[in-house]
Order: sequence, then structure tokens, then C-alpha cells
Amino acid sequence: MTPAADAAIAVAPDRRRLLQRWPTLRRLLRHPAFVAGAVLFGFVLLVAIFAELITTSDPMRLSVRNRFKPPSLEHPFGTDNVGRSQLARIVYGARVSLLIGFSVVVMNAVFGVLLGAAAGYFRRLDNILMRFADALMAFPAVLLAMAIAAALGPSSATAAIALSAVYIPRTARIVRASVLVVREMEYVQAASAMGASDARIIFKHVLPNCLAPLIVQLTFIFAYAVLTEAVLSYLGLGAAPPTPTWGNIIAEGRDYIREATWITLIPGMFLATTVLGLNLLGDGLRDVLDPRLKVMQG
Amino acid sequence: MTSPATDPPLLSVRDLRIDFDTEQGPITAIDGVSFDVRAGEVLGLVGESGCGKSVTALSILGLLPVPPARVTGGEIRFDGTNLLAERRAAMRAVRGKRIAMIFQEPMSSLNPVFTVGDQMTETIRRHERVGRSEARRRAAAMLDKVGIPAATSRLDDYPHHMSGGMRQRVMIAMALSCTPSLLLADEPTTALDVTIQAQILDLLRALQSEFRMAVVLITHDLGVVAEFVDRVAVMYSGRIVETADVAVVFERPRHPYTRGLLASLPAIDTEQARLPAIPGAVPSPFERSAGCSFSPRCNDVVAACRVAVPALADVGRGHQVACVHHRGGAVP
Repeated sequence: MTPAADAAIAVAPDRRRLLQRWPTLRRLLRHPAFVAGAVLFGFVLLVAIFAELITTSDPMRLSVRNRFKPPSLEHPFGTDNVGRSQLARIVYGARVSLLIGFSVVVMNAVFGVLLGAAAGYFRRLDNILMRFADALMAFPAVLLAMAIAAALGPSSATAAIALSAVYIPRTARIVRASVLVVREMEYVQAASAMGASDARIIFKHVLPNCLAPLIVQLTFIFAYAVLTEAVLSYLGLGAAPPTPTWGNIIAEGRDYIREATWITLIPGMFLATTVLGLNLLGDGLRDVLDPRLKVMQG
Repeated sequence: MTSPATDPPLLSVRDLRIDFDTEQGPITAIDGVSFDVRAGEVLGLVGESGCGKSVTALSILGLLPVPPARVTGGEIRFDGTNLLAERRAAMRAVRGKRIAMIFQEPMSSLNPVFTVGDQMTETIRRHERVGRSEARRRAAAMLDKVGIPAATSRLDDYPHHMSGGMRQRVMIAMALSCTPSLLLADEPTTALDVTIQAQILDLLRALQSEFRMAVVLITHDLGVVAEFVDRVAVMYSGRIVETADVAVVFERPRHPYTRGLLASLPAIDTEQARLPAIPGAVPSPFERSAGCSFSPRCNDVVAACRVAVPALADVGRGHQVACVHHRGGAVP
């Protein structure tokens, strides 16, 4: 037998064991929306990670001779009004967009969870925290993000902060709702009857049982954050212009949309692919991890 | 209290009053409950749903949700200290270590996302200065003691791998893992089927005498009471209406409510078409009358019943009854 075949035989039981240990994974892989979302989002993710391998062009390099070149073999996605390679700009823009989206998700996972757990577990804090969250959520997401980003000055970091501030109250609400349910479970009472402290009960007994809706919510927040970040940079409130982000590229191409459609169209398609992929992922995760949510929303 | 024991009781609840704040105003859930539990004694706290049995037990551990619950009076002395006056950290050290509790629903009393061993060692390490492997060894020993075969390998099981009876055994093992001197058992067998019920009761009784541990068994099942407890306290609508040794309660019940409860048990040696029931329902806490709260349902009701709440009065040999018909040992 060839070494490759040996390796294949060794790997097969491993893979089967993995699927047996994680029945959730098996159900996810059978969910068409999840798989489609994983493929779409995975594609964008790989593009962002391997940007250097995809193109050797510098996304910042101007080339006046090559202005407004339509897509060709030499310039797969064409060039923009100052002759920069659109492929490079979109690929590096993916990196910026996803990084901001990911920071927003991390901030939500930390602060949204902490605030939601505090509000749901300590009933005295609930009213204060949730009324504050209500006040923040009363503003339209984009408007609030714009206000915060404008106040802090445009940069990718402030875009991430502004978007986190917008979405953390939403995450906190979701976490609070799950905590309110889980804290009434008998095992929580049993744990406190065994002498567990509040912190231990929250982090060990309550939050691990609130993970499913949180994961679903964070996936959707990733999608919203990427989309809203594009809006912010389109409006000049995100990363400062030479930095490529999808929103910047679309904003710069806006004036030439009739003559050089590709400048706006292609980054728009990447944006749509990312958001669609994440939404499909979120739908799949929701169906598999938390079927009750589907009933409630359907 | 004319307790035959000379040494002070392990647990002494005196005139406990607990209110719950509701949207319609405060209601009194526990209205002057007093009882003692001596070391190594098994007290049965009996009564129907909503009479305040579980609230009493939770208040001993300080586990009532505040708000809406509010302890408005009385004291709970455990081994000399008033638990109601203890600080939160001190109460946490008592819970699980000196007083443990097991609950009604074994199916949901274990955290579904962690293994049984993980949850058992958590409790042990919370209270004892032992390392991970020693805690695991003790957890396995406890599982073995509660009759779970292959205890060591069972530690790595998740709760959903186990049946209800096994989970209740795990809960008992967890509760006893730090050898508490008092165990509160809140309807520990209600959710189990009858054969398993008997096994769990046998187990509890064996462990109780092995550890010389006092038990407060909360139940509405008089069969369980007859089998397991030394002394009975019958609760009705937030008050204790009768307390006595178990044999006395079954042979010579004095309070009309206790009599009604016993009369509604099916007898094995006579044929009955229909079991006698106590007419009416427990009054809503909003509509409690001034007098004895059982008076609306009582067959022996007299005018005096509706005037004032009768106090628990001694009728001899540690038997106490709260009924106008039994004052100062008078026997009708």
C-alpha cells in the first residue's frame, strides 16, 4: 500500500470520531444554508488572509497612465480614477473590513456578554443597564455609529469602537434574555445550594448554557458590522481614504459609476457576498443550535 | 418546646415570617413557623403544594430570591448561629459544607454542559482544601457509596447519559460529599417512579444513619413520611398546625387537617369506592381570614376558630397541635 493510502485509512476513523463526538457539526454540515454560507464567507476570508498571494500590486500605488482601465488580464478587476489596481484594493480592503467586523464581534462577545449577564443575573442592575441600552438602541444604527465615529475622528479603530457601541446593547439584550431563563434552572439553584459564588454561577453554570443564541447573534453582528463599516467609510467616517476599504472604494467610484461601473460594482459584490455568507451561516447555526428561535421568528 | 433531648437542637427555627412582594401587595408565605431538628434526627415537613414547605427550606440556606421574598421576622439558629444574620460569604461557606440540599427534579438539577465528575469535584474543592485528583477520588468514592456501578468511569458521563434515578443518586452523592450535618431534601422522590422512589429512600436512610446526619425531608407523600422520618411537622397555609413523633401522628392525629390527610390515604385492607377528600381548597394568601386558616374547610369548626389563630399547644409527649379543640392537653 502506498503511504498516502495508509494516511487516508488513518484519517478516516479520526474524521468519523470527530463527527460522532460533535453531532452538532454533523447536523451543520447537512444544513444547506450553513454550507452555502460557509463557502461564501470562507471564500472572502481566504481572500483577506492570502491577499499577498493573490496580487503583487500595491493597493496604494498610483499609475496615471492606467486610469480607468476596465477589467482585463493585466488588471483583473480594472483600475480606478488614479490608476490603482482594483484587485489589490478590494483584496486588501477585505482585510480591513473583516478585521473591523471581527473586532466588533470580539468587543460584543466580551462587553455584551458581561453587561447582559450582569443585567440578567443581578436584578437590581437590570433596569439601569437595560434602560441605558434602550436609549442607545433608540437611535438608528447607522446614525449612532456616524455620530460616534464623527466625534472620535475617522479611522478604522474608531469605526470599530463606534460599531461596537452600536451593537453591544443588542448583544447584551440577547444574553440577558437567555440568562433570565437559565438562572431559574434547578441546577443553578442546586449550585448555589452547594455554596458556589455568584461569579462562579454566572461563568460556569449560566453563561455556558447561553452560548447557542449568542453564537448566532454574533454571526449576524459580524454581517451588520461589515455592512455598516462600509457605510461609514462610504460617508468618510471610517478608515481614512488612502486605506482601501470596500466603503472607500465604492465612495471613490461613485462619481464615475456610469463610465467605470467596475469600480463600484465589484467591491459591492464582495460586500454582498460577505454579508450574504454570514447571514446564511447565522441562519444555519440558528436552525441547528437553537431551533426554538426559528419557531419564534417563523 | 418539651424536647426530650437535653442538648440544644442542631437547627432551631423560631417564629419565622416571610413575606413575598407581589403586584397585588405583600403576601405572607410563612407566618410564624417554629420547629427544631436535633442532630441525627429526621424531620418530615408535610403539607400540600403552596403551604410553604419549600420556602422554609430555602430560607434556611438563604436561597430565597430577594426581592420578592422578604424575611420579616424570626430567627434560624443552626449550631448556635443565627443564619439570618450571617454575611453572604459566611452563608456560602455553610451551603454544601454544613447544610446541603437536594431538589425535586433530578432531571434538571445537574448542569447539562458539564460532566458529573466536574460538578462533583467543583463542590468538593469549594469546601475542602484538596487537589484535583483527590477531589476526583472522593467524588468516585461518593458515587460508589450511593450505589452507582463503575463509579470512576461514570465521573466522565454527562447528565444526559443518566436516568432520573441515577441523577438523583448523583445529587445525593454531591450533597453528601462534604459530610454536612444537616440535609434538606425537598421532595427528593416526587419526580421518580415508585420502585426508584423506594430505592432512593432506602439509600437516604442508610446514608443518614451512616453519617449521623440530620435530615429535613419535605414531602406531601405520607407514605414516604411513614417509612423514613422520626418526627413530623404538618404545615398548612404558612403555619405548622401539628408536630409529633411519626407514630403518634399516624395513630392519634389531633389536628383536623392532619386527620383529613390521613383519611384520604387509601387503606390496603378495605375496599373503598371513593377516597375521602378534604373539601375546598387552600385559601389564597390574599384571602386569609383572621382566625385559623383551615377553618373554612374544617368539619369541626366553631365560632372561636374564626376569631384568632390558635397557637401550637402541648398535648403531651412532645405532641403539639394548633387547634382550638386541643388546648392544654384536652382530648375531645
